Amino acid sequence: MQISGIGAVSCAGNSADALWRNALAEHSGISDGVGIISNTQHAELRAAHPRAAHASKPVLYAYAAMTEAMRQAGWAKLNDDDGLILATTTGQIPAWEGVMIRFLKKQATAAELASALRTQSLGSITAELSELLDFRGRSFLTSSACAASTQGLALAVQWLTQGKVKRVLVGGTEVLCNLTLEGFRSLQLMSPLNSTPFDVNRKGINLSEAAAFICLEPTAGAVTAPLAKLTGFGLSTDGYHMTAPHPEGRGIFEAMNAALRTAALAPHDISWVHAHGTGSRHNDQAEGAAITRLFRNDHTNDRNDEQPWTSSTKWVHGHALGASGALETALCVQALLKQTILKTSGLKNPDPAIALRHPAANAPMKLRHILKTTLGFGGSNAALVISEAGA
Amino acid sequence: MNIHVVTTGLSKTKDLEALKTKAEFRKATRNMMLAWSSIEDALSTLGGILPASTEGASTGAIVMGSGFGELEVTRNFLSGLADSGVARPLLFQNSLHNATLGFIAMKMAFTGPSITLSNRCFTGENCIEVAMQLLTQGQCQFCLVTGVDTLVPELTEVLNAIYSSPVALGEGAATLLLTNDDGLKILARPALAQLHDVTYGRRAEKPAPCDFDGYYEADAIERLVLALRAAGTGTLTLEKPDGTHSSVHWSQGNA
Repeated sequence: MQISGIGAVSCAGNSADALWRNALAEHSGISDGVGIISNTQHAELRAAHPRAAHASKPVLYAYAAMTEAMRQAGWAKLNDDDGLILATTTGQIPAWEGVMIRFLKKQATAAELASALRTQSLGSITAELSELLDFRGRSFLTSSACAASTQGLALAVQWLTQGKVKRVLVGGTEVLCNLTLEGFRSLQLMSPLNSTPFDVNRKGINLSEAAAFICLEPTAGAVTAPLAKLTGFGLSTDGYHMTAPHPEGRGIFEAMNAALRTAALAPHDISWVHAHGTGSRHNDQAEGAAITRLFRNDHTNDRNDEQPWTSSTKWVHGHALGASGALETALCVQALLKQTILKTSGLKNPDPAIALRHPAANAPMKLRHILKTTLGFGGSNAALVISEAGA
Repeated sequence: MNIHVVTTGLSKTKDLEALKTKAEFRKATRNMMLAWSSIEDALSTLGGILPASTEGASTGAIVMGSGFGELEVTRNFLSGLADSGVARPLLFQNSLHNATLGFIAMKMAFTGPSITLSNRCFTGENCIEVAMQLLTQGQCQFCLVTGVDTLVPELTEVLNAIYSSPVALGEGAATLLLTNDDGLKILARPALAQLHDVTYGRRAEKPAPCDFDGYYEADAIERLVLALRAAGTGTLTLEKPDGTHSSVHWSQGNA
């Protein structure tokens, strides 16, 4: 399936191009440990998208990323035989969490709460965005924690393969709220400074806001040349712990294996691993173990035990939870277009317990296939293979 | 590739009393208990567990749907935070839409795909459709499809007010165990039904109101379980408040 368009709004810029430029220049959108889309960015997005100017933040950000992706793909609109897949963990919660507390304290009326709670069901985002896009076709909304939009991309490939829809607009949207910020603090997972994935001194994650969308379609029938191709996907479950991955990364190992299998590739075909790399102690340890095992076990590898380069870009844009997979896929597509890999910004002292190959700099290199990983709470894992357009 | 319904399960709030006393559910939410209860009901006809070839193997997948998700736990987390300034990690981890799926995955020791879906009144239908996709494409050999929703007592009146049609919101969970042709051979038992497709449509005329007593957003799975138990072959068409409708098509047994 070809990727025809990408769009992204994040704390590192209001477009996919801005995100790439900031990643390349090592300009981080993180401030005081979180990645908030600034008021200036918000005002620019409202001005640029008057149709969605009065929508909630997650809807506005998604709409902006969607229209950017569709413009690049040459899609004038989403047709009724197309598909829409959205991913989010908390949806429009900022619109109702405060009202609910005021209601429980008898400071808000039932009518006020009813009005706010209309947006509680996550599918309200699908409905609002469908209306903004004048779209009446099929839609899904995935909410499998941080794996949500990566799963969405996998489901999109399945939809297209089975001929259920002609094209799919797929991605995720995430904004910060009290529940998420205080919840992650209670789990002692937040870093007060920029996260430093895979570093021996890593302190935790940077939660962030973002929306990112991908236009996916079969090459036959596409009106534009492919930017890249989505050639493989793998989904798995740890079944181990509610908030921690299996320490050996068994689940993500299986997901990566499945992604390679569906792409009909061997581990040595992978040029770069774009890791989930959140900067949490557990994630980086488990993911590192799984990546190391995947490439160590590759007996077809004539480069002996040489691993591909592995990086996390979360120092730049933070961890956008359900939207992270789509956001980082947009970066992978640009890496393939520019034939350039990104380093793990912020990494100074690689953890000796994590045996990965870390690129020392953002550098040009021959890139053919990228392996993208995500691990989520609840043990949901997903991996993608994103390949250059000519693959 | 044919998609077969192996077993079905239902659960209502009254079924939770027995679970509440068990230590393994000490940290579980009502959604988790309801979902598990419906899965137990479904698996009871298989002797309580799936075949050894499935349990703990990557051939098992779970697709979980919920409209409101863990609203009750979210309310408890936010309320505790507002009252005492203390954020409780257990409540946070259980507040996620994906929490019920994580809990069930741990209990089942499934390592195949696990996906949580939420799409208002189409939540249940989407779950059935995604499970059929996973099985058709060989991503799993067995798939538990569960829809679950619970209410928050203090918010029930408010939530009812959101639905303008004469719907009395309810609670419940329902489960389908689906498999493909290979899985059916492993089980060596006849299927209840064969699922053909899930379709969606839009009607020009004014939609019929939702008239299902105890409606919840993931209730299409419960409606399908009831329909499967009532008739060997058929189409379940569900009218939606927004003028759309869905249809699930099936035929009897392995046919």
